[in-house]
Amino acid sequence: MLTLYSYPPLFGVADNNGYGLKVFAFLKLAGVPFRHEHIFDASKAPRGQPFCSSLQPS
Amino acid sequence: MLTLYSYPPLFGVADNNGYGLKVFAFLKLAGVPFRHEHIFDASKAPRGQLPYIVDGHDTVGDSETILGYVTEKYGVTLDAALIPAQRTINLLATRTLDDLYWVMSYSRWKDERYWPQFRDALKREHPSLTDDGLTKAKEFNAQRYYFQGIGRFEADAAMARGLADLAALANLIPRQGYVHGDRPTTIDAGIYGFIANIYFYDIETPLKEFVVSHDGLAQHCRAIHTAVSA
Repeated sequence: MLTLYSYPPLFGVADNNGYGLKVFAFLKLAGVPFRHEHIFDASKAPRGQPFCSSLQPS
Repeated sequence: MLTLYSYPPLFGVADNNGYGLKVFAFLKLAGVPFRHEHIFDASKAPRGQLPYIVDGHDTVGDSETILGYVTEKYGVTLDAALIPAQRTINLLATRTLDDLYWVMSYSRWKDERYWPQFRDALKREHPSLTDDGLTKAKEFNAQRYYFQGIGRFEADAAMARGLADLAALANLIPRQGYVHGDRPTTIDAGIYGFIANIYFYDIETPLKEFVVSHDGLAQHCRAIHTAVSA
């Protein structure tokens, strides 16, 4: 099964990052089953998309 | 008289930066007289960014803010007839050009296939630039690209992003005339600012290949170029 790695929720929203939430919503709308792994560490991500320990883009 | 401070020309284009060329073209299309000062040192500019204008006691930076300021102060009517839906298109297109900016800049300073040609053109047209200065600028830009995000893309993936931007812009330009009809409006100056800095360069990037092979974009660029070169 597909796994989505994205930032954690905030205020009841499934991902506090707009790009991650977009993918989450797309998968839901498309009816594609997936596991959702919430992480803060982007170091293993393709291109290590933006993250540093003290400053999280949102 | 209003003075526009912006980066220097390259390949016959009045400013090698899309934002400065946009303001230049806008002032020309609007018929607002101005002096054009070309500089490399942005340290005196508002936010340390070019272009900016000085008009009497006012110093105004940020190209969109400049266009708004000039439109208001000089009663520019280029966009007077536009309806809200057209103004929305303008905002979306302007943001698309912001995305294209990063890809264009990457193609010049980071894509090793084209960097040597860009560097040589700069040195040829602006002999005051030194290898040391250009190397520092290249390193600074690499940092900017990394933190903006485009710098994490492989060269072809970065170019693909720009090609998608260009395709969207090409779709905005009708077979005849300009984005919003028979006469140019402000958004045509914005599009020209970036497309001219691809189209007139003797550097065969994928971006240029796209513009050259899309008659609408190329023709639009030539038409505005003629209108602002007088």
